[in-house]
Amino acid sequence: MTLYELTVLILVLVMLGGAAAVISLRTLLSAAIAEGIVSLVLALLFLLMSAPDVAITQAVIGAGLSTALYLWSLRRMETGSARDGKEAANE
Amino acid sequence: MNRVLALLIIAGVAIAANNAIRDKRAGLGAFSSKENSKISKAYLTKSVRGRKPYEVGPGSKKLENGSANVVTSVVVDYRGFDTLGEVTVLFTAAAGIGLLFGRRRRIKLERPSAVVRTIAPWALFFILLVGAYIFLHGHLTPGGGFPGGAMIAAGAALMLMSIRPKIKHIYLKVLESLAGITFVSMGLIGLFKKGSFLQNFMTNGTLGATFSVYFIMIIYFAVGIKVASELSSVVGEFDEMEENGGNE
Repeated sequence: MTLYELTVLILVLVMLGGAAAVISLRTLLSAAIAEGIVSLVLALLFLLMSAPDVAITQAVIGAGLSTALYLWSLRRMETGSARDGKEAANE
Repeated sequence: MNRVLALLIIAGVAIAANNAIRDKRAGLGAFSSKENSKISKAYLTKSVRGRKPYEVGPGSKKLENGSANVVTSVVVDYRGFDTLGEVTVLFTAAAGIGLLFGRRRRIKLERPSAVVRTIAPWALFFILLVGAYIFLHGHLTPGGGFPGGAMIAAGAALMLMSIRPKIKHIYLKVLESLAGITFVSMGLIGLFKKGSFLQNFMTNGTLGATFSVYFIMIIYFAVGIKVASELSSVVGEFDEMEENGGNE
């Protein structure tokens, strides 16, 4: 097994772990962060496979913008449910 | 009257596009395969580093496509129509979000910490700089309109989180429309001058020069502005919420 294959394998395993964390974490905030980590590792993987165009797009949109939008949605949900007298949305 | 006019324009474009696709001359229409292998070889073996096996090095002139990046050649020139489709998809998504999210009142965020308030302007400077660089330099280096525009929109998100300026959606809409008009009119000029929608009709210049492939530069500039304004507008919509809770 070459170094390249080993690196790809490790990155894929990290991605799998992150994906499992997304569905198993109890709080939505942690799940959103884990999703961003999966995207970031995917961007690294693209870079390793010499596709810098895709890597830049994945890093910006997957890891940056979509995580920010998730966090914003969470804030909206919290504000909405706090006004309704419910507990903060964390499931 | 307007509808009839629009239908006539669409019909004319469709007929011209149909003729261009069915062009049987070598290397022109979609179904001519005579020159295909030659064309793909010419642009797949291209590099600005000037390594030995690459036949087209820096300083080459009179190329079919003057972009130094193969992906850019394909995305903007050979398959420019797909890029137009992608931009349209993004526009539709942004319009849908604008329809769903009313904008009356901004959501409350607690005041960011001193670290964020201090670092944000500097980080913003570099984020916006790199974003603009990525789409202005897209004809030479990896990247282009989409990543560059998205990076600028990420900068807008950071701005909304830290400095919290008021987003004026009307400016974003005007910018976005102008960029879209530029893209489509470049395509139409290509159609009427060279016979194919979004065909490169400008001079290519020297490979590797900063100002070389004007066609790709203009289209990437338009795409970058369009994506940046659309995504910034989406981020702004997320920041605002309807009066009655906004939690449907």
